[in-house]
Amino acid sequence: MKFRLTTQLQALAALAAITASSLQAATDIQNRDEPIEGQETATLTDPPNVPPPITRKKATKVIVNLEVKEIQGRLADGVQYTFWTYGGKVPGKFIRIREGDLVEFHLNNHPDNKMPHNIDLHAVTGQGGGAGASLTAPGHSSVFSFKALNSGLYVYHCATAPVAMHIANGMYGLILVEPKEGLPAVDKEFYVMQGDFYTRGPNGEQGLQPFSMEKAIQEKPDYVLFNGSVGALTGEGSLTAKVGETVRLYVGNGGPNLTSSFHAIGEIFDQVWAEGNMSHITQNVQTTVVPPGGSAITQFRVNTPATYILVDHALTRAFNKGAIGMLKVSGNEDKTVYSGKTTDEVYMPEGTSIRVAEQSAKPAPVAKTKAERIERGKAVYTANCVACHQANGEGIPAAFPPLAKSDFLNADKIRAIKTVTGGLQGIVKVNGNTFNGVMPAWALSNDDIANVLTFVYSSWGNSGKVVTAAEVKANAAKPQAAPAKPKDSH
Amino acid sequence: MRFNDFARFSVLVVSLIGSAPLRALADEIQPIPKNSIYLSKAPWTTHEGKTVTLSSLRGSPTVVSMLYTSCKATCPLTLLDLQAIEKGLTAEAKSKVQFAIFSFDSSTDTPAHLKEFANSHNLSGAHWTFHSGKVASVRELAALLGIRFKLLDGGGFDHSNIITVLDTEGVIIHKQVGLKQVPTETIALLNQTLLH
Amino acid sequence: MFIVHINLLPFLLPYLSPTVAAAQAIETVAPQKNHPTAVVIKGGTYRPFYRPRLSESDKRIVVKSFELDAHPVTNQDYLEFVKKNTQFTRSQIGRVFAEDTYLKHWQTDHTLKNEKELKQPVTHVSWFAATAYCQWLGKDLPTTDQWEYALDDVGRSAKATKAAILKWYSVPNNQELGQIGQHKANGYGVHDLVGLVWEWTQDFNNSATSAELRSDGTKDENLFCASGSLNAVDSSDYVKFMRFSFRGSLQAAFTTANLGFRCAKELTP
Repeated sequence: MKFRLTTQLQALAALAAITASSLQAATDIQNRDEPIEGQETATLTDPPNVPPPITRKKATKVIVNLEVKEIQGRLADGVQYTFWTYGGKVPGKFIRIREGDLVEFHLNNHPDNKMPHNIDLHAVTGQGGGAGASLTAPGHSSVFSFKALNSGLYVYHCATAPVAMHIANGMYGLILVEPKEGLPAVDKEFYVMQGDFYTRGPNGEQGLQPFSMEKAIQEKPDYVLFNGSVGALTGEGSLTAKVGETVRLYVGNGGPNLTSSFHAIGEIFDQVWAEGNMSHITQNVQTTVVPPGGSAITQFRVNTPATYILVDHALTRAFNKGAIGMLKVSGNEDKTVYSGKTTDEVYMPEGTSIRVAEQSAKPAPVAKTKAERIERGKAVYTANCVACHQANGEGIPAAFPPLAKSDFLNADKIRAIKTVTGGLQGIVKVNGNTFNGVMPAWALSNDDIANVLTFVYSSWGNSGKVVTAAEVKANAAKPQAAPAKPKDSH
Repeated sequence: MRFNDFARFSVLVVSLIGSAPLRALADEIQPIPKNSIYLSKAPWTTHEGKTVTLSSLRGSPTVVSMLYTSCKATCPLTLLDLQAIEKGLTAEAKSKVQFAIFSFDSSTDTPAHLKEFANSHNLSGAHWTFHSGKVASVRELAALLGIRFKLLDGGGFDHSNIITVLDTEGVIIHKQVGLKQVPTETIALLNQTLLH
Repeated sequence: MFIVHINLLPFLLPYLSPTVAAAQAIETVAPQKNHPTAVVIKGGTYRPFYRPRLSESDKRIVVKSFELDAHPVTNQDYLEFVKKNTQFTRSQIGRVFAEDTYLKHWQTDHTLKNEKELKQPVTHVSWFAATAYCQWLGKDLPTTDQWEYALDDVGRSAKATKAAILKWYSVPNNQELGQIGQHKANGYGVHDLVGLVWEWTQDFNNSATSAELRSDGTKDENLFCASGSLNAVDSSDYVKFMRFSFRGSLQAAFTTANLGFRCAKELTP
């Protein structure tokens, strides 16, 4: 009790601190006027990594060098695409600065590129967010500077006409403008950015796929992806964490068109800074909306090991178009949080029931020979009986009796007919073992029952008896009424 | 002695170079910097009827602008911007800085027309020169100054507004982009930087 | 003082000679034969991509008949020009006329790296250099309208053009530049307007009124005279946007690895 109270108080204190500091968030004027001390070159990282948190307490001049590179890369297995990138990857480099910083931005267009490019950073206040000052021909560089007037997690993207194409080809990334007091420390930080992709061929068509403007205008993507390629955040690319760690995801959406319903299957976001703002935290969020050209920061402690699946919860995008990522958490299980499957029981309400078996569409012609009966019977067995009695009639110990070399079966053909047609409950002894289960009655045709019994009698060392439809008809039993609850069942 | 002859010859050469006309000659035959727009050989005719190339402006800091006389909307504002710059110059700067105006309009803005224009705007002082040129010259200068322009269907020109400052050698050292800009930086540059 | 005189003399001697090292002329030595064949583009009406007002988006302008080079200017062609006009050699050209990447793909001032380059379109040339070359032949760079009109080809080869464009524009430049004339000419007999290199035009940057070219059509009256805003008539023609964006990113002294040119000539009436 005492322990819980302390942690609750701690949590409240932390929340109060965050809220209190947010009430004192710096204004744009304060940030504009904050004096600059010193100079540094920004550390830029490729996704899914994030540069280290800002520790300095002063605004500084930050030099950012961002190179545009047009490359051919993997969109999916066997599918190539021409990506236009900031820094060689999709999404582009993650930029991390502090509010009040003065950024000297160098946009460098590689001489091998064919296209002109520029940049609009949502963190910039000024014409085009920088786009007006940065249209750059291949083999050239543009420089402009801006003051970070507002904290937040901001999207940046190319704004050269045709804009949808530049963005659809992967020209987007995130710039984090930390608040003055920084963000609370966490164990893991990751960079995830969603984008929609439009190819001439459908999803999965192999080879180099050109961009389809028609599909982009109709907003009908073929791929919706995290970090620029199918499976970028799965397998070897999975994000990882250990049980007990706090994980923070900086989530962006480059679009160009689709809004993301970002969710981690099996996890809840303890805290969300919605839309990348720094002043208001929402707690306990399952799915958060990330608009194209927008962002969100989600943070959560991982309490128990699992592979948590990151998705866009508009689910065909996840399962049919690739919007899936993985966070693999390892460590000791916490069974209280999540037990996993504890038992697997038989569930049979109201005693035996008629099981309508799988019938073929056309009524098959009646079997005339024993061989025909066996052949037809095998099909019926496979469709209906294998689940319990198994492929070779071996049954499942303590659950379902064997049919192979079964003394019970071979002793009494009429009883066998009654068992299949009427069901059987209660204790039976087969080949020296006791079984106390429930066999349902089967609403199969007399022919089918005759055939399946003939098949069983001809298989696995059984007596080889033949059962005819007439015999089935004459000896069929009605389904039994619900018996008293068997003593040993559980 | 040969050595003394040589010495006397050198003294003569140096003293000659020291005299003003030959200093001008020396200036002329110093190479124009590779990044100077005075490398252009495009011909222009001034409002006084003189045929020149851009290098005629060499030797003084120059404020350059492009406009056309029948422009009603922005060009009058450009003139005001140029005059605002002139007003802010110190006496010393005023005596050295020249204003060179070039017309987009090869057909209407003949030298005579430009002279009329200069007079009617009281801009016919020694420091103001208006230039008329053929289309090829206009295009080349606009390209050198980074000025966009386009002849419109109904006549007239769509053009960007940039006032350019050149140093004495014709190298672009400052651009004042857009109309109605506060010319503080331009004026400061002309007053301080170029005069030492 | 004596020593100073000695030092000055060698310094002064070169400048006392009549040859002026820095003079660069636009007027150049008369050309030879063996220049790209040119075809006549029959005049007609044409709908330009950018219009001052969208209400004019169907307005067509007249393009008079003109002559256009059938191929882009090749390294071989340009080499001849440079040999006859030394001020356009790589080591001599004024920085104000071409940035330092001018002809960087050539071995020396007057030699290419290999034979294949002879028939490849010349690249790493600035607008000033391209203009000078065309004027040397008594021609000029085509206007943007003339160039786009030739590409439009009165709609004849729309499919082939679009396919070539898509293929070229979307593949990054890591392959060797192709040679001229490898693909079919369009209906006018003009080859390689797309698929090889971007091409300079006379008025390459006058249609863009905003450096960021998001074509939002907003007027910027302080920056531009007259209409100041241009609107794209067909915003789904994204391929045209790419060309206009590219042109808008250029300055006259720029050179790039993917930018060449061809010449045009007004027909005497």
